Formats: sequence, structure tokens, C-alpha cells
Amino acid sequence: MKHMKGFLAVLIVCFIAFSVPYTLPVSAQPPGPAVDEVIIEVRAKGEVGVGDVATGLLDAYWKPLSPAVYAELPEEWKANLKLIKNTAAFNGLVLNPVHDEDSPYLVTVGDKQYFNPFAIRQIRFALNFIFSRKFCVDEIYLGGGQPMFGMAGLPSNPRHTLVEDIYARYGFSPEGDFEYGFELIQDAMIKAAAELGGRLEKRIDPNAPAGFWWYFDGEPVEITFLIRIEDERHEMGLYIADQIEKCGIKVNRREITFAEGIRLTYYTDPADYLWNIYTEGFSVGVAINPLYYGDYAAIFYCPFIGLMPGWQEAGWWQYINESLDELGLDIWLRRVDTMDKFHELVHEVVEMGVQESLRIYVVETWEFFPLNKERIQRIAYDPARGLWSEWPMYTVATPDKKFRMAVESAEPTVFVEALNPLGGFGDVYTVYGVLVAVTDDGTETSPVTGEPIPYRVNWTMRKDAYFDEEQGVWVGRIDVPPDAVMYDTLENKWETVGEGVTAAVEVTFTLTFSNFHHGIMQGMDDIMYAVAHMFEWATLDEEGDPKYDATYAAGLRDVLPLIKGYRFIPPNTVVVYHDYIEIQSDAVTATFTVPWTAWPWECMEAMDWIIVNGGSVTGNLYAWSKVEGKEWLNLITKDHVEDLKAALIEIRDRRHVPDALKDLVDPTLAVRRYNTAWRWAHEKGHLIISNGPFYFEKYDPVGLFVILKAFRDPTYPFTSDDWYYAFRVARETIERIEAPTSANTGEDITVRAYIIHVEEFPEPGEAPSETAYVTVSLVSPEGVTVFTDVAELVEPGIFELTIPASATEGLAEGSYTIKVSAATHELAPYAEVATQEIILTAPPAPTPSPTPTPTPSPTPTPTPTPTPSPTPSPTPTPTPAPRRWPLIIGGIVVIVIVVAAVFMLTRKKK
Amino acid sequence: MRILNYLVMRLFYALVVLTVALLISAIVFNKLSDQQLRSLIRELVKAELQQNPELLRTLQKNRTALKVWMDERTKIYLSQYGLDKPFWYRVFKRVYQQLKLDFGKSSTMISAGGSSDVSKIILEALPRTVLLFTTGTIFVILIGLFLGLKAAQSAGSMLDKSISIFALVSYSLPMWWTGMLFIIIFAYYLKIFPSGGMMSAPPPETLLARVADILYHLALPVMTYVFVVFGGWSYTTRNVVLNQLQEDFVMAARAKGIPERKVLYGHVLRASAPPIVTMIVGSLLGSLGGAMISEIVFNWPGMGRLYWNALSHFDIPVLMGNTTISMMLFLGSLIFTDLVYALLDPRVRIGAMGVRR
Repeated sequence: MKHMKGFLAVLIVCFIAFSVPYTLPVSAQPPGPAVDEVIIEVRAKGEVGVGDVATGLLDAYWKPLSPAVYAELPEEWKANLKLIKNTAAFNGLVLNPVHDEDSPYLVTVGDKQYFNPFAIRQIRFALNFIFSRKFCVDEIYLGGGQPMFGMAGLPSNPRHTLVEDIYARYGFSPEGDFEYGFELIQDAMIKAAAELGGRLEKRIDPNAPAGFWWYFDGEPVEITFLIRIEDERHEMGLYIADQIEKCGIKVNRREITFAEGIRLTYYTDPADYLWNIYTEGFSVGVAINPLYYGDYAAIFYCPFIGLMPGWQEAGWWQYINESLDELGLDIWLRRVDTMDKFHELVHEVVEMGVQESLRIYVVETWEFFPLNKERIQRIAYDPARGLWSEWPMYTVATPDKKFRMAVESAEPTVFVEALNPLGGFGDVYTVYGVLVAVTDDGTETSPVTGEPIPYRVNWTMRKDAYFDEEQGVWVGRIDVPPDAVMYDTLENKWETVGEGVTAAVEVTFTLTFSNFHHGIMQGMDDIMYAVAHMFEWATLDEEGDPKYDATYAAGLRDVLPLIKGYRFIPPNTVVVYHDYIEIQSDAVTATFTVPWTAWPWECMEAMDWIIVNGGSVTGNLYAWSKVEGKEWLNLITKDHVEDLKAALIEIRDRRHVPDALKDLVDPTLAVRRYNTAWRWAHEKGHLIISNGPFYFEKYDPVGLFVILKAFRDPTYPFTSDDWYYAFRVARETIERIEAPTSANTGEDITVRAYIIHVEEFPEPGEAPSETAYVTVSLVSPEGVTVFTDVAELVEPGIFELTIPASATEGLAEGSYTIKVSAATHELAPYAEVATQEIILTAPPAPTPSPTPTPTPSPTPTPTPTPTPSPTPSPTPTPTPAPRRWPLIIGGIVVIVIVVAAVFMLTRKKK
Repeated sequence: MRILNYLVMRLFYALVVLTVALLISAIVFNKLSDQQLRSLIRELVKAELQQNPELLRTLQKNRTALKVWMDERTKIYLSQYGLDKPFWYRVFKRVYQQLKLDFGKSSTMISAGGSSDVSKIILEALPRTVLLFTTGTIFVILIGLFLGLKAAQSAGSMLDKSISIFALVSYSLPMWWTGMLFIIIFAYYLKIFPSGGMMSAPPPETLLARVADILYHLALPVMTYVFVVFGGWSYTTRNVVLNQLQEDFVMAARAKGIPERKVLYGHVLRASAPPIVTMIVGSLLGSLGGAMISEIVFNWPGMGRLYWNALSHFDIPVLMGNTTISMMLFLGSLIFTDLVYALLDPRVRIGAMGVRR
């Protein structure tokens, strides 16, 4: 029995011992990302990259590829891929409207005069009609895009809908209207011919596509069309050139590459008349974000920015439009106090831009990143930018905790851009391959709203200001405490701001510190140093100031004058006073300047040292940015690292404390920091030391690869689950609209929208929506929005809005459109749109007509606005992919037969 | 002594040719470079203005003053970049620098080690191309010679016909296309070789394993190269040797009862040597130029890719450096071939010195 008791006691102890781990809460995940290692390789060709992903040699290819690439792939490869959409670019045409000062049509080059049809606004405008954007999207881009008529952000930008009535009013359609465009052109040419006497005339030519050519001074009117050949713009350009010739204007098709296109279009005076049209394309990363839709209208329509012909080059012919410039500046500088006024301004700019038609927008392009479906267990990405965003690296998970991806580069290096915090990290690969992985910013961009969200800093904001209509500026009413400080770059020290300073905004930031990758704890000294450093390098104290970088300063030109003071409150609070107000978003206002850094001050000081004094080992001269005659500082280049190491030793031996930290940092601490940074540089061969979820382990310039490793430091504040659940990627889809198909004017119209909330990340799934932002609009037959308002939730998944009788009263009879737009949030960078036709008729005169009963409507018709799908298919047009197996098997058989025959025959002779 | 004189004369001619060729290149590239630098200067002046808002505001009100200011700044930059000097001065200076092998700094590209020194960029790419294409060329020569001799020996046989047909087919295949096909077959379906690159990422730790890893990555591009080129080589060798086989001295050798193997390798091959040696030298030196598209397909960062990059970036210093190196190699190969000819065939030597006789 005694033995029995003992046995039982042991059994109980064992049971408890083994059950403890299962009964206690599951221990938290290790800090840092889901994968332990990221390997970044290089591929020089997209076709090889996607092949490697499909066959498991890579997990992801970090460059989006056009649908044409995927259309070529064998079906079994396609089955292995998950495609992530990237919507951040457009292709279109830019026109050269040059003309002599004394003539609206003619341009004189040397002794010769030319007739420039694009000097005439009506002809430029007509180009919008003579080709089909739908044809371009379906047949040339193979469904990889959507038609685009103007610029207010990209068409995928939810706020783009605010200007769509303009397109409708002018009769723009995806199919185009060749006859109308043709008429406009002929009308303008006939008017010009009348004014030019017999110099401009139409001559019949049965072989001409139009049956005639226009002639000027006895020679055919000919335009030079610069057509880029590297992508779909080649076919697009050739197609549009054919359409122009169908209007009687000859086209000289110059098929050119990137460098030649850029040189001729943007680096020659329009008056040299070397080109008339160029198939331009722009990558516009945040043009999808509602916050910036107005800025993009200003950028691409208003000459003052420098993107209209003439390019603001002194001495060159300029396209001048003062009205557009005035409106554009109001948008650019936010010289408005309400959102309604802001939208009106943008609307006006877009309408004027469309009338001017200096640019003909053709297509918003969509490309797709390939992921290996089996290997990638989960990943978060931006709904618009795809993998070129902050989330993928943080959240990607693979079975073996290794993530292998490749960037595209035909250069002798992995990255073309240098890696340094001030003037480097300038391209998508250095930013979305390395920077987002190894650094933590103070804020991140919400994938749902596009607004800044708290990340390593949190904030509270107080705003008190009034708008000075005369000056067009916000005037602050918050008193900045006299003990707030600013960095004096002349005296190289912190100075109090004193009495009488006011600011529009006071933001109190709470910072979350953690260890840097080399083990030193981040602190207020790093923040103070970073703020001082910003002022130091962006302020020209005197001619030849060694601590001034012109490129860096240009980026901060409009920021620094608005900062009014700082209060650094240990251990982790900073109060910032400034005068910037973004009327669209409080989050943007609050994070106008964030007191945060991802770089330890001792490393920054070493960089400063070699930029100011040169490298003591190599004798190189350095600069933050790429400038002639100096080395572009790169923290992973061997020679540069040797100079940085020498600088660390030198400042360590001097027990040097930076000016911004004098009396704040003990020299002993400074020496410790220098030693630690030196050790890191010595062991790893680079000086990328930061605070992000990965640390930079290795760069191999011969093998051309980079290795990043997970930073599992206990002070690091996030685990992969934090990101997994924090960065929801969701959208709202419209299942159907319920509204009458006919109604009388002067009556209420009730519209019900059935909305499904689709969650793409972290847990794919869908449910009736309860949080969607749904708007209902009534659009007239002319395309004018006559009513719009936000619908209300009546039960899960159902949103309802009644268009009041007052809104329909007095409307003309006709076929109207009910347009429903659903997004996750008012500022969401993605909205789905569905429409339904409704016939409005006047009520019968003597007796009131019966109220129309709402009847279930057919499935809503899709509109040009994108209809997202969870896994975007790159080939919406059914293009059968060529079968490669027969080719491959045939190839193998031929090779084997030939080789075997050769050797058999050789042996025979022996 | 004669051979030394011959060499000196050849070197002198080569130097003259090189100088003339460089002069022509320098004229073309200087024109391009001028445009590029002027664009850069325009950007610099514009940036300078935009970085000074006060000045910008003042000058924007007065377009004439703006133009004067921009012209002045442009002049300063023109002087900094040497564009204030006459065109021909700059052309001759560039030729002189190229002859001194002073290629200067690249305008856009950097070496893998991070340097913008053109010599470093070229010297980084050259060994990689040597590794791939020179290795491939050696294989091609060996296989081509062997098969060409065999085919000539049995002219009209099945082997001969097969080689002719194979040469026609393989030589007409674009190398990059064959490369893509081989990648699909051997890398994606059979999974025998990697799809590209020079080594695994990360590569093995030990030296031996690292060498094996590079050879493993080298296999597929070399196979592609050999597959496309060796047929043509065999066919050309066959034709050269066949001509010699019909000569009297071959018949005489055979009549003497000399074994066929000795006739072939001892007599025929020696007599066929000059054109074959020319081909060998030409191919080996040609291989140093790399192949643009094939290097891109196989992700091999060699000379071909470098040239393509330099062209697409309009990187004039790299283009000029590349051109100079190519010309030097070409002229060097001609001198070398002439020397070998002279050694193989005294008639050539004597003929070349005819002026002195």
C-alpha cells in the first residue's frame, strides 16, 4: 500500500509536471516576424522569375508582371501561383501644343513653317474619341487595367468618382466615338484652312485610310509619334497612330526606347518640334490614396508643377494656363477650409484639364506579383500596391520559416540605389525589399484607409486655428510654451523658443522604444539627435556649409518653416507644435512631422563624419545623395564601410559627443555606442543598424544576394500575430441593388444595397457587412450627379437610403442611373461600384400616379470602376495559353535523336 | 630578329588603327555625352533654383532675370564639366585618356563592390564572361574539331550529313531562345540544373563546395552555348579539312602507307591550321565580349549584360571603356593570329616584310 501511495504520488507529480504547459496560457510568440530568414536574390528577366516561383525555386517575385507574361504560362504553372494585384501606374499620351506667338497653328523651325494640329484645342480634345480604350484594355493589355479618361488620382481611387460626371457630360466612353472625334477634327481643320488661305488643304487620295490627306504648303500634314517599344505602349501607340491617320493626318511612327523617349520629350524644347505625341507612362504609387487625389489633378494638369510641355524650363516654349495654375496652387497648398471647397477646386481643375487635353489618359494599368501558393501560408498586402507595401515582409509565413524572393535587375548589383538613411533607399526594391523590413517607422499607412496609423508612436492632438481667407493660410491660436525648443543650426545647440509663439496644432507623442539591432537601447537621445540632424542637413547656414544637402533640403523645404517647437519629456514623450493642417484627415495633420528615428545616433554621426571630412582609409569624398565627383554613401559597400569603421574609431578616441547631445550624453556612453557599432560593422561587413523586425545579415556582391534575419530581441514590441491581426485587408462587395426600375419625378425613391464584407487577411472569409461606407447617387442621362448621400445600415448586410422627393422634383424625364458605392471606410483606397438604370417620368397630370413599388432589380451592372476579386485573375479575356508540352517533348526528342545519331555514327567509323 | 621587326610593325599598325577607331568612337560618344551632360546641368540649375524659395519667388516675377540667372549658373556648370572647352579638344582628350586606359567614372552604374570606377566595373564583369563563354568556346572548339575531322574523313556518310543538318538547325536557333527552352526543360521540369545565377544563395561554406556550386550553375548556360555553336564549328572545320584531303600531299602520304590517323592529324590538320587557328583565336577573343540577351536569360552578370546596361542608361564612360577594351582585344587577337601564322607558315612572315626586300 505504501508502495502504491508512493507510486500514486509520483504519478500525480508527473501528471502535474506534464500538464502545466498545457493548462497555463500558451506562451507568447517570439518577438519579430513569422519567418526566420529572408533571402533576396536577383533575376534579370521576369519570365524566368515567374517560372522560378511557379516551380518552387522562389517563393515570390518582387516585381509585378503584365497579364501577357502569365498568359504564356502552362496551366499547371498557373495553378501554382497566387497573383497579387498592383495598381499604381497609368499609360497615356502627352501632346506637344507648340505654336508661334503670332499664329495659333503654325510653328517655325529654322526657315520652315509647320502646321501643328495639336496646337488646336479642339483637335487635342477630339483624340479622346477616335480610339477605343476598351480595345486597349481588352486586346492590348489583356485585361490588365481599366479605361482612364482623366486624372484625379487613378480611376481606382475612390474619390475619382467625384469627377466622373465630367467624362459623362463630355460623352467619353470606353468604346470611344470615332465619328464624333473625326467630325471635331475635320471641323477644326476646315476652320484653320479658312484662316490660312490656300496653305492648308484637303487632297483626295484613294490609298489614304481616310480617302484623303491634309496638306500644308504642298506637303502632307505629318505628326511625329514617339512610341515606346518595351511594353504594351508599343501596340497601343501603333493602334492610335492608325486611328489618327483615319482622320487624314499622316503619322511618322518613331518606335523608340525609354532613354530616347525621355530625352526627346522631356529634354528638348517643344519649339524644336521634334515630337508631337509621346506614349508616356507614370508609376504613381499613392495616386490610389483618396488623400492625394487632388494633388494628382494639380500635378498632371497645372503647368506650375513642371509636368506640362515646356516643363518650366527657362528659355523654352511654355504651355501657360494661369487659371489652372491658380486653382492648382490652392489645391497644392490646401488654401481652403472645407472639404466641399476642396472637392470643387479639384472638379474645376479636372474639367479644365479635360477641355485642354494636353494629356490623353488611356489606361490605368494593373500588373500582378506572383507568389507560390503552396509555400506562402499567409501574407498581408496592400489592396492597391500589392507587395510593394509595408505588410508583406512583416506577415509572410512559410512552412520552413524561410522566405526566398527575387528582385528584377539586370545591373551588376542587387540594388541600383545606395542604402543610406538620408539620400538612399530611393527605389522600390531598396524600400520594399530592405527598408521596410529592417526599420520601424513611427507610423505606418493603414491598408484600409490610407491614413497614417500609430505604430511605434501614438499621439493625442489639440487643434486650434482659424483660416485666414485673405492669406489662404491657417493661423494658430495655441500658445507654444516658452521652454519649448528648436535646434539652432548656426550655433549648433538647442534654443528655447521664448514668449509669444503660437501654433495651430499641438501633438503629444508617446514613443515605444526597443533595442537597436546591435543591442543598444533606443532612447530620447536618438530622437533629439534625429530632429537636430534634420534641421542641420536641410538648412544652409552659409555658402559652402559642409552639413547641407541640397536634395535632402528640397524635400523638407515646405516642412521646416511650419514647425514651431518641441518639448522632449523623458522617458518617452515628445510634444510637437506646428502650423500644418490637412483638412482631409486629422491623422495626417498630427503626423505632419513625427519625432522618431530608426537609426542610432552614433552611426549617423559616423556617416556625418565621413561626408564632412572624407574617408580616411580610401580617400573617397562622400555625399548622401548622388552627386558628381563624390561617392554616393552606401552602408553595404565594402570601401565605404571601412571608412565608416575608421570614423567610428576616430570619434571614439576623441570621446566625441555630437553638438545636439552636448551636456545630455555622457562621453562614456558615447564611447560604448561607438564601440558597439564598430563591432557590428566589423562582424557583418555593413553598417545597417536599425530597429525593425529583421536585421541585415549579409550582402554578397559576387553571388548577388542579401540575407535578412528575424530580430528576436525581447525588447522588440511586436510579434507576427500582432501584425497578423492588426493589418486587416478587407473590402466590401455589392451583392445586389434593390430599387425601382421606374419612378415619377417628385417622389421618394428607396434604394437598398446588399453588401458583403470580404476579409482577405488575416482569415479569408465573408459575412454580411455592418461597417461598410455606402453612398447612393442619382446620375442624370447627361452624367451629372444630381443627388448623393450616405446610406444607413438597416440590418446586417443591408444598407438603405431614400432619395427624397425634393431631389427628384423638377428633374427632366429620362433614363437615370442609381450608383451605389461601397467601401470599408470613407477614405478607403478601394471602393466597389454598382449601377442600375431607373426611368423617371413626370407624374400624370390630373390624377396622381400610383407610387411605384420597389421591385427586385437585376444584378447590378459593373461600371468602369474596378470590381475586385479575392484572387485577381490576370487574364480576364479568354486567351488560350499555348501548350508548351508538345514543344518541349518535341525539342527533347530532336535533341536526343541528333546527339545519339552523331555519336552512333562516330563510333561506327571507328 | 625578323620576327621582332614583324611584331613591332604589327603593333605600330594596331596602334594607328586603335587611335583612329577611338577617335571615331570619341566623336560619337562625345556628342552623346554632351547632350547628357547638358541635360544634367539643366537639372542641376533647376534643382538649385527650387531649393532656394526666396530666389525662386523673386525671379519668377521677372522672366528675363530668371533667364539671366539660369544662364549664369549654366555657364558655371559648363565650365565645371569641361563643356566650355572646344569640342575637338575634348575629343582628343578622351582618346588620350582611353589610350592610357583611364576610363574615368561611370555616370550611372556601379560595380558590385560599390565603385563607380569604369575599370573596376569592367574588370568585375570580364572574368565572369571568361568563365562562361570562354569555357563554352573551348568545349565548342574541341567538339567541333573532332566532329569536323570525322565528317571530312567520311564525306557523304550519314555522320557528315547529320552534322551538316544539325549545324544548319542549331546555328539558326537564337541562343537566348535555346536558353529559355533549356531552362524550362532542365531547370523547371527535370530540375537538374538551376535556372540561372552564378552561385546558390547563400553559397556553400567550403572552397571546394563553392567551386562545385559555381560549376553546377555554369553547366546549363555552357550546355546551351555549346549546343548552339558546335554544329557550325564542326561544319566549317569539315569544309576546311575536306579541301586539304583532296590535295596531292595527302594522296602521297596515303600512298606511302602512313596510317590514316597520322595522315589526318599529322598532315591534314597541320596544313589546315592557319584558318582553324584564326577561327580559334577569333572565337576565344570574341567570347570575351559575352552575349547580351543570353547573359540576361541566365542571370549571368558578364560583359554582354554590362554593355546592354550601359547602352540603356546611356552611360558613356562605360560604353567608351567597353569599346576600347573590345577594340584592344580585337587588335590584339589579329596580332596574335598573325604571329601564329608567321610561325606556322614562313611565307606569311616573308610576305609581310616584303617592303624591306
